[in-house]
Amino acid sequence: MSIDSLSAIAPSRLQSVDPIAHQHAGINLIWATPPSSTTTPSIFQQFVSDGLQRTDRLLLSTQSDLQRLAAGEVGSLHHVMTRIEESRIALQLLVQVRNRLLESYQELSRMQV
Amino acid sequence: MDYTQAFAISSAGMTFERTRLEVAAMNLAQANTAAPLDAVYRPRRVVVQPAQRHTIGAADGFNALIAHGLDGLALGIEIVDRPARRVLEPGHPQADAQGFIGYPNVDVTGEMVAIMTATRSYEANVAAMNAARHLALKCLEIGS
Repeated sequence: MSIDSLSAIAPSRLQSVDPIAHQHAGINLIWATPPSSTTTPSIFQQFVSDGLQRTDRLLLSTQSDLQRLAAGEVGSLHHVMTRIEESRIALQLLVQVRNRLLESYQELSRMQV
Repeated sequence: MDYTQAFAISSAGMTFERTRLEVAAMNLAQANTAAPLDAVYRPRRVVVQPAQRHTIGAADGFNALIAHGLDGLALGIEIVDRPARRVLEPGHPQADAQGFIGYPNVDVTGEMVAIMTATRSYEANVAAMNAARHLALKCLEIGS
């Protein structure tokens, strides 16, 4: 993940450039231990994968709703439509989050070092 | 989530209006079914149990009110206690000794009005739900 690599690069620069950072033990501690993304997923990664799974579950339940509607087993049409709209909005939210992430990644990759 | 709640509110309203329409249709369908006087179809009416208002205080807030109202929206169908119309039809095979037969006392005009108001209210619920959906989708355009 780009954020992890960035924070892995950051401590040496920060410590060499900024002498104040050495004095603050708390800040030093945070920067000195970069998150090990290989063993435990970071909070952000978990957040994204949780959202993905939730959207996937919504889409799957909508699909089963539609199948039951086609089979004629659904009593009320508007419940199905409501579920469809809910999952549509969830999917749109997912797409927008992905767009923002990609945008920020491209912004970082264009950055002059 | 908030838009889910708005959807649930409109969905409950649509369920209610659709039940009203179904009951009115059933009353109209049975309007001219003759039967012996003691076995005549009795018109139905939709009743909704309101949320237990005494348990909700003003301090509970709007969200609690809505959640409670959605939980307490219990639809029921009760029989209207209206006596059957007695019609003299001596030739009818189900007529009694005096030649009378019963017809359901269905208020056809009232049922038509109920159908119209149910349709309009259903459309209003759909409009409210579309507005909530529009807000949610517009919200996703922030910053783009």
